[in-house]
Amino acid sequence: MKEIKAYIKAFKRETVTRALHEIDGLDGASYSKVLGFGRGKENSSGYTPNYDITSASKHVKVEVVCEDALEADVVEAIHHAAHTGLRADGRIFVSDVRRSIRIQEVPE
Amino acid sequence: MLNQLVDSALRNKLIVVLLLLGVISGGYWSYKKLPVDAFPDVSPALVQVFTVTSGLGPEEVEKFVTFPVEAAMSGLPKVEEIRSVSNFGLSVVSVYFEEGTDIYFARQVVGERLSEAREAIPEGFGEPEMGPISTGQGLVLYYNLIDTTGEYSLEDLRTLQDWVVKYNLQTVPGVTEVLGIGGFVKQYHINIDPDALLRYDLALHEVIERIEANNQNVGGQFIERNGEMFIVRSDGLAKDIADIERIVVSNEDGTPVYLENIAKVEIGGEIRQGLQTRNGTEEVVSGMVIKLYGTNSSTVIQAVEEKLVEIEKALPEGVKIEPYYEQKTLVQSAVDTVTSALVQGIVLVALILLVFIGGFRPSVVVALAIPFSVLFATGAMKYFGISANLMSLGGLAIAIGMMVDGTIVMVENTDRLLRQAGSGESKTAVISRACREVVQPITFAILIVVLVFIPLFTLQGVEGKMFRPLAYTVSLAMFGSLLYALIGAPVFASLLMPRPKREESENDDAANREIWIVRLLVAIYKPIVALFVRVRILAVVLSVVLLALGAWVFPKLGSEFTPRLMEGDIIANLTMAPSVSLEETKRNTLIAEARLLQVPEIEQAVSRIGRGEVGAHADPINTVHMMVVLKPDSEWREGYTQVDVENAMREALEGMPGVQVNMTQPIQLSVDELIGGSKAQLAIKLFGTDLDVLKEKGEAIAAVVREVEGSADVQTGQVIGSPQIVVRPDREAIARHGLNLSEVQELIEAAVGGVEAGQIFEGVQRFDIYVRYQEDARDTIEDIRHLIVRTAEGVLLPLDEIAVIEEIVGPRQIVRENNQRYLEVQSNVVGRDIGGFVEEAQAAIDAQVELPPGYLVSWGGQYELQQEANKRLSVVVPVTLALIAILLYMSFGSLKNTGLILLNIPLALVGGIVGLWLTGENLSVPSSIGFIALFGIALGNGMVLVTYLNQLYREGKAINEASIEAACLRVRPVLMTAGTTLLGLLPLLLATGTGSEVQRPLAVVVIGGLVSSTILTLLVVPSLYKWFAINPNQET
Repeated sequence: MKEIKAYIKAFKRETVTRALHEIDGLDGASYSKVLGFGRGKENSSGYTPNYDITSASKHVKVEVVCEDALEADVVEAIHHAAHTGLRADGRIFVSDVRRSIRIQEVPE
Repeated sequence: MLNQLVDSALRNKLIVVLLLLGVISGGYWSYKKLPVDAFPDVSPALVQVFTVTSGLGPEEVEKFVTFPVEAAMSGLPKVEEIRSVSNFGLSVVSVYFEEGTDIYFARQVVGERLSEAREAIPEGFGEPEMGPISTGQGLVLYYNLIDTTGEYSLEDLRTLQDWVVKYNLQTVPGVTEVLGIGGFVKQYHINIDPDALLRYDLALHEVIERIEANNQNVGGQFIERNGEMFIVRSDGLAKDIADIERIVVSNEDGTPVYLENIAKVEIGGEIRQGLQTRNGTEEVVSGMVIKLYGTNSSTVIQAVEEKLVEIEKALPEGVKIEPYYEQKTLVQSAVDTVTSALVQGIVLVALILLVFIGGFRPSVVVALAIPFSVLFATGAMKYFGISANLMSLGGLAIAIGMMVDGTIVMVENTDRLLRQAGSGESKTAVISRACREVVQPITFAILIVVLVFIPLFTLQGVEGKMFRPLAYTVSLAMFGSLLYALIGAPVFASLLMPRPKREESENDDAANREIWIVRLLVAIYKPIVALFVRVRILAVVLSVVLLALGAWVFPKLGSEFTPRLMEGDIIANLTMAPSVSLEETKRNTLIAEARLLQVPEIEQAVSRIGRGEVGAHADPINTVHMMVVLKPDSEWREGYTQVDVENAMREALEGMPGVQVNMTQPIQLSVDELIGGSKAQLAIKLFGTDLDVLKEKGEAIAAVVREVEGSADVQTGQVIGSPQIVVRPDREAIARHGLNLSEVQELIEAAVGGVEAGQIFEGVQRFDIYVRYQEDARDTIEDIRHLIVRTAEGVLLPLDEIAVIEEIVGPRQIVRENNQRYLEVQSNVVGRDIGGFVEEAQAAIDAQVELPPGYLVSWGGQYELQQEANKRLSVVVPVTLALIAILLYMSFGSLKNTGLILLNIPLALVGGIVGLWLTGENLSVPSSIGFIALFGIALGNGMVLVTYLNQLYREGKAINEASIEAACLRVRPVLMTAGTTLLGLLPLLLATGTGSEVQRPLAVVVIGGLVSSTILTLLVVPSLYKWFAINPNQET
């Protein structure tokens, strides 16, 4: 099991959703609105993207947990859908998941 | 927030449908209840004070009556201006209040001061009274009393009018007064033979006292008898001529001298100041119905008509009531013009939708926006108390094409996305996505359209009252359309629009899924826009060329206040020499009527000469208002318009000696009278004190104006020229004979003019007893010289022994504005714009007419209104543009984008200007409104496109590629919104019915401007986007 965590531009959320829908066998995904900051741009150009007043930028965090086999598809889908080629496009992180439990099932 | 609104509408479809249905049915109910008028009522808050002063000349009226009334009225709260006319026997003081003053408040303050004025007017010089509670459009119906049997005299008819028709009509709710004119008001005339007076040694005043003393009823309280109360009364009223004849006036050696011995008692007509004629053949008795202030014309007219049928039954056999002018016809045709334009507009808009969307069901979703918005507006109109009239319905007609714009953009986007969407996504999700993509620009675009109409709300005075209803309805309808676009369109789209079925084929790319028309459009458009995007200089050149074209054409445009609205009835004003007598005016009028009936388009000509019962008019007897009733258009000669008919009339009346002719229309006449105190488009007022100087200089001005190109019907107000016989008592001589001046003057008043001496009652009808010398004893100046005055010692003196009697030429009428006399020179302007005409005339007058000190010229009439409107608009329009710029900045968060969208405005203007020029229309208030509407539409289109450009650019597309792609994607909605607006206005452009003249310039401007601004939006905006682009890294 892998967890794929992506920070994407807010307006790309729907495109990403549609891309994820196309993947067979994917259980689901969750989104949350996040604030954060990145450093790279400041260092490279001095340009600060859409920071709010507390100088945090608004992005959407996508979390997907999937079978190992789907990892590549999911990463590619997100990467494709959220890509604009411009600054502040975001990051994708992949990590291992040790256990996965459906709450709906009767606990032991 | 907007996104959430769309989503929650999609979640609560049932609620939304119910809500919309509620609005629709409420709107429909209101529509049925809406009061209907021809135009918005433009009358100012005005109270008129009428004072009838029988027999006084204009100078006396001015001095003794008008001046005290004016003095009492000045200083009232909220008074703006006081104007007065002093005529022979009548003083009219018009008190103008500030706009928006409650008419009942105004009447109340005037009423309070009226008692003051009453005291200041010398005894016996008349009682000032307020005019009817009505407005310039109050005269809703005129009728003639026609006797088909030939049995009834004019006197009988007038009695029927005064005591049957009038009293019954006045009970109709909404009728404030019914005024009669024509025929003779019945009186009992006692025509005294002065020789008989001498014979019996009687003085005239003694006879009058006798008559009054022998015609009375008194009450003697009551007596008690056997526990019952008996009222005691004495019935001494004269009942008929015989009773009057038997009045004893003196006693000669024990033999009574009866009135019949010294006088002839007969039934006669009151001395009149006006009459009414018809069709060159006969004198008639007529009445006019004045509706109460603030009531609904259509319902009042209808009630009056119903009542007339009832009254006719109560009239003697063969007497008919024949209405010859009703505002209803005008109201109806004005409303018809607009409603047919509305219906045609809806059909054309639906056609566009079918062609461009290519599906029936999406078209239904869009088309539903029209009834919804219209009914939303009518509901709100009812709520705000706006009547349905030419202007307010015109606003709806203008808005038809715009009402669908927001929904079109939404449905078009939905349609496109539904075609492209993969099967993985639910229909509602696609619709939600499609709607959210465009909801913001749509909302802002519609808000901007509403915002651009703000300047119209600030218009004051007549132009404000005229055009504000239009601004209201456009704004209301646009609000309705916004509501529909935000919540209705998504819901109906999800309920009605199908998901296109398609086979998953190889070449299943987005473009191929579009319908043929879109593919065709894109095929043509893409290479062009690509060229413009690559060679940006082309766009710059195009814009500059367009702007230069506009700058070149603009000075060629004329200007006017509003185009003349054709009412379908014409009034010919005839003015005769000021010295003319009533009979002579009547003779001339009958000839003029007969001549006019030669014009085949004319059905009837009914003329009012002078004035009838006091309350509505104050015209002297040398003035004729000839109402010309035209046949229906279908019977006119080929290609004839109302203007042609008017010219034919001018021709027909040409060469009538001593008759000046001026053409106008019923409502136009009363409106012009109210706003300028003038009956012409242009009123040049010369202020000063000496009537002779005023006359001389006024004529000099008139001569200069006549030379200016475009002048027509130039007339100088008649201040002077009324012949008078003046009796100036010689004080020395009077003193020598121990007489009082008043004795001499009372004799002149009673013998020549006549005095009232009580009344005869016939049931509720009452008729005056009028005493005066018999006609052959007072008819000539010689007779007047020989009037016999009796001194206290019984010496008999002819009047010329104690007075100088001479003939002079005196003033005709004296008009004053704010306590200053003035003379008015009026002119109509034909075939050119008033603005230019005034400039030329002003220069010519300055150069050629030299005015003595204390005399000054002011310009009024329509021209004045136009200037006022321009001045106001020149402040408010820039402010509104600034507001729009701020709104745009709020929406885009980018100054550059705002600039790019604002670029639309000058280029849209060009199209409007060229449109006006091509169709030969002038710059006017309606065309300004066209420009205003144009701003809104042009900005809206620009916004939708720029929004999408930004979107693509943010997604990382290269700028050129993004520009071309966005333009191609938006070509359909841009063309559709432009097309619907354009076709929605087309019926207004082509309409020829009543009122179309006012709407046409507006339609021309919007249509012309749409053409140029659409070109701009489609070619220049994508091309110049690069220079105005946002920073794509910045997210909103």
